[in-house]
Amino acid sequence: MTIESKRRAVFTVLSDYLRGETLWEAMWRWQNQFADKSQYELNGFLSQCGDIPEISANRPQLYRQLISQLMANSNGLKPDPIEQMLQYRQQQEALGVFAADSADWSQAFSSVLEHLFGQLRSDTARQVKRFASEQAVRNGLPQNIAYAFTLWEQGGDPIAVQGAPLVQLKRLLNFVYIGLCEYLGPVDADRILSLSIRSAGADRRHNADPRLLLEK
Amino acid sequence: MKQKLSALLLLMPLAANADGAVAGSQNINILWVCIAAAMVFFMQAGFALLESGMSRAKNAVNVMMKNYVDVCAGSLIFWLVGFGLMFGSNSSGFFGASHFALTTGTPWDFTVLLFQIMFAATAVTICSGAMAERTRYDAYLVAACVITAFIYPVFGSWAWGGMYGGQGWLAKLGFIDFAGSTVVHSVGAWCALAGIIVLGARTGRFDRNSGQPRTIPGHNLSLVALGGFILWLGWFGFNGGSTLAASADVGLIILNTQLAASAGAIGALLFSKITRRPVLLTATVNGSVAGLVGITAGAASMGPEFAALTGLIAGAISVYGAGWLERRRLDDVVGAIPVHGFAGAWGTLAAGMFVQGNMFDGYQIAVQIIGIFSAFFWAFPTALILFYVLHKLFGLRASTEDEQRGLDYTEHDEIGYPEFHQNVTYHRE
Repeated sequence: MTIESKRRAVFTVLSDYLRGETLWEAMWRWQNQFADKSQYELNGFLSQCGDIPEISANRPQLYRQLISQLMANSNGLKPDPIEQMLQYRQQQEALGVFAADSADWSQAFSSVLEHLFGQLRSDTARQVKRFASEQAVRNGLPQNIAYAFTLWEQGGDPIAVQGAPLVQLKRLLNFVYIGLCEYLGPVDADRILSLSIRSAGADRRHNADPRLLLEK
Repeated sequence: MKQKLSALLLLMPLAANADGAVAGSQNINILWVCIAAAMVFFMQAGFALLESGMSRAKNAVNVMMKNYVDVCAGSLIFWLVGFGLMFGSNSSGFFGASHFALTTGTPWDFTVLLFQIMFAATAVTICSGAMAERTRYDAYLVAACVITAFIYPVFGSWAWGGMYGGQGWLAKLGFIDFAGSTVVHSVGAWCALAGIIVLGARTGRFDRNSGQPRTIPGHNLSLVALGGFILWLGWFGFNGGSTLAASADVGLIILNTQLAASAGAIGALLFSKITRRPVLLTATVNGSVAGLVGITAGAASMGPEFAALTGLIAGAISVYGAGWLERRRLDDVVGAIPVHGFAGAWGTLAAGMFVQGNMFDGYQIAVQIIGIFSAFFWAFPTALILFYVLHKLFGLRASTEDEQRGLDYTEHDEIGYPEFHQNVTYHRE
């Protein structure tokens, strides 16, 4: 099941109980921490939303409904709410509510990748990109992120990772780093990664701090 | 000055009886062995510096932590279990069965225990260097405890066992390993070999397509040289203290140690020149350590000329062995296996070949070969099982993300060089 289908299923269930800001807040909690986890972890999600009265009061029903929606086919699901979620987040950012780790990383992450691959010969860049794509798929990185990386390496648009949890972007960057180690060696890999992060940090096209991609 | 000293000596009271003389000589022996134990303990600093210097800056704290804590854990474990297994009453010839967690005994018992704790710590720390930069800290410590509690003392009981009755089966055959070329160094190295096989190489150490090794330079070669000097100094206690007596033999033993270490460095240098390799500091320091490892078995039983020859060949072996491992894609960060394993095996063989007054005795050489192989066939498979179980149970290898960021930050949340990192691959608020 794709992340998009999962998101639609969660939205379908939660939108019957929650409205407005509370709904988007809960959706973002799911997106950032549970989107790539199995459905059996939904109990953890519901327990984390224990501060929302509508969820704590209806937890058993919510859990049953979520499981059944995730098991069913996607015909009866509401449309993907990602656009509304992004709008909500932009409003929150404007108010200074969101921390940097939930900022839109598309531009910042693209900048890091551009600076990183810009330092490589075209054939090495191709090899490293292919290696990172394979590793992303093989190691269970969410399909939408792996796919976004594949699209990015083929085209020139910023990588479409809106709403992707930072932890997944860190993993993707690590796959690229391993590719650098494999094809150029760890000494050059360290130098190139370090320089890309510094260069992307100086980039004015985004507000995120690329150094956060190197955090634990 | 001499006259003043003589006058002072005349004023000193003479021993009144034989008992007093015996007690006095035992006190001197205890003092000497305690000093030697302190010198062997100081070798840990040498190992830590050498290993840290040969690793990348982002793993410096992790290396130091492993070296620091394996002594702490190893000391306690060896006191509780290892000493009894190694030196306790050994009627079977295969393991000791008394003197566990020694709390009552003679002053001499406590002295020997102290000295042997330092030896156990030396054996276990050999693994740390080979497995550096990609091993999980907790998994390494568990392995270190098992090696100190079981793998090292069991083999030790074969070669040195029987202090409190019985005798190890290798000792019965007449196996010569004065201070542990095989018992300490080879056993540690064979455990390290098992460790690096289970772990695999550091990411990117070998070219993905051609398999060619890539150099990953250490971050501070001054530390490597300093570590080498400290190990050298500590080795005077390692070999000199193994007499377990402040006897007249100590002079020759320490002279042999010095000559072998010097020849080891020269052997590494000459072998590098002859085989058209660059003469590296790391290889030179490792050559001298290989010379020290090589002479450890025969320091008390061979003449100075053969000590030098043993060291010279050990040094060459350390350089050749490092290349041999690389060709097999085995990533030993500090060269611990050629230095402690291969040179240790050679030194054990040399100890049987160059016995003063009994040169090239066929039986002795055969016994030495049996000892060398029994160490390998005990330590290597046992350690292989140990590391494989750890790999399956806990995970032995750090994740690639941890390898990228460095184990200082990921394992300990500390940075060795917060202001001097050239290429920062982690971020810490």
